[in-house]
Amino acid sequence: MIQLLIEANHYFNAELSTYFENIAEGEWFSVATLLAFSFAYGVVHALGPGHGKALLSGYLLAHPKLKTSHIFRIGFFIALVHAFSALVLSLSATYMIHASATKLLRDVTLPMTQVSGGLILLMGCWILFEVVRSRRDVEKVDTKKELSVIILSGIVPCPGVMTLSFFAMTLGELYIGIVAALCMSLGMGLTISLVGFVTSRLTHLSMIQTQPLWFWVLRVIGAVMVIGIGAVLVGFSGARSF
Amino acid sequence: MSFRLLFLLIFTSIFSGLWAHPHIFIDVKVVPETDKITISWAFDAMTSAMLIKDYDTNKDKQLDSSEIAFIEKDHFKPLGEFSYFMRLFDGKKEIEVHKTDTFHATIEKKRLVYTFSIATPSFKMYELRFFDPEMYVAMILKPEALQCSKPFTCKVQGYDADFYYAYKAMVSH
Repeated sequence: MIQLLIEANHYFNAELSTYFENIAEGEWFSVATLLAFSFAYGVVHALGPGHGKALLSGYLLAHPKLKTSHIFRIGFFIALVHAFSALVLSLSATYMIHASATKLLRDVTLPMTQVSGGLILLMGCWILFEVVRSRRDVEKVDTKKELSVIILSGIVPCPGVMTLSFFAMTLGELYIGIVAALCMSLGMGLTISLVGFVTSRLTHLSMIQTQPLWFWVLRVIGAVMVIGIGAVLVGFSGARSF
Repeated sequence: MSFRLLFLLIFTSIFSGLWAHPHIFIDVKVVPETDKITISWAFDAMTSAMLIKDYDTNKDKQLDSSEIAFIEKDHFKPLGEFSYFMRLFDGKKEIEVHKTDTFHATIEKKRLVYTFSIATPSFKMYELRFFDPEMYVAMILKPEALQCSKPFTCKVQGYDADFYYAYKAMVSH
């Protein structure tokens, strides 16, 4: 399974490089294929474990009454913010501060990960407090934290999008690179949303629905998951030295 | 899907690593010899473009000796902290690799290639395992990339190590 994931990522990464190079050489008919492959790369890229999906899963367990449309909205926006922060960093590095792409990736990712981890941890504590307080009344759970979930899980820039956009800029194809990055983020959004949807189905199982204690325990577990993700991100050692 | 399986999936997604999907792809080539093992890494095209932009300072699409020396110091040597994404296995335990020799870097068909060597271990049978436990970097060793000649016999095998995927070159002489 992991091998398949690696090979699929490798395949799409290599294909995208080729299509970008073709476009840079004037083969404009490759644009449509490039964008389709960018979307597919996003779907595959997000299949591996990641903090965005884990955070969303924890949040959804703690907030079982969210509608499916909300879940998909959160999932897609997490991916868009994830890609957008990567694009902003890439563009700033290239056109404003003229910084090294690789150094930026290795210097910025760690502090951003740790800061967002700290905020996620605090948010997890708040969710846990609410879940414990509203033990008998699920409806009272505040669902306005959607925006926090989206920003906190998406704000760490996606290295995949940064690499893709830097590559496009290197070839002088900035605008196509931006559109490809957005297509990639839509692909990631689909995967993240589907993971969130599957998680939310957990709370709809009859054994959960008919057992208030189980239902509540599941919500507590969700809140604890969010705290755990925050703690892991805060303690992130920054092994990413590339 | 059972309740327990769903839980397992969710918790695995957290504890199996936050970045556990590859962003950098390195095609590895291995040449076992009597006194050394020569290893080369070919970076994927996207990563190559980023690194070349940084390290080909005079933009001549070639790497001269001063650029290579800087790559070694600034990019390659720091990876020793991660055992250069490989471990020697003597049949009992995995041994980290911290010493490398004869580093060289070239640009081949727009791809950045690092070549270096490590000392051949004293044991007659060994495995050279390539992996990044966090799976941020995918080390890929295909059978044709293990170049073996007498007195060595070699085999490549990929294996799933639960939280990451690795390739190993099994060498005996």
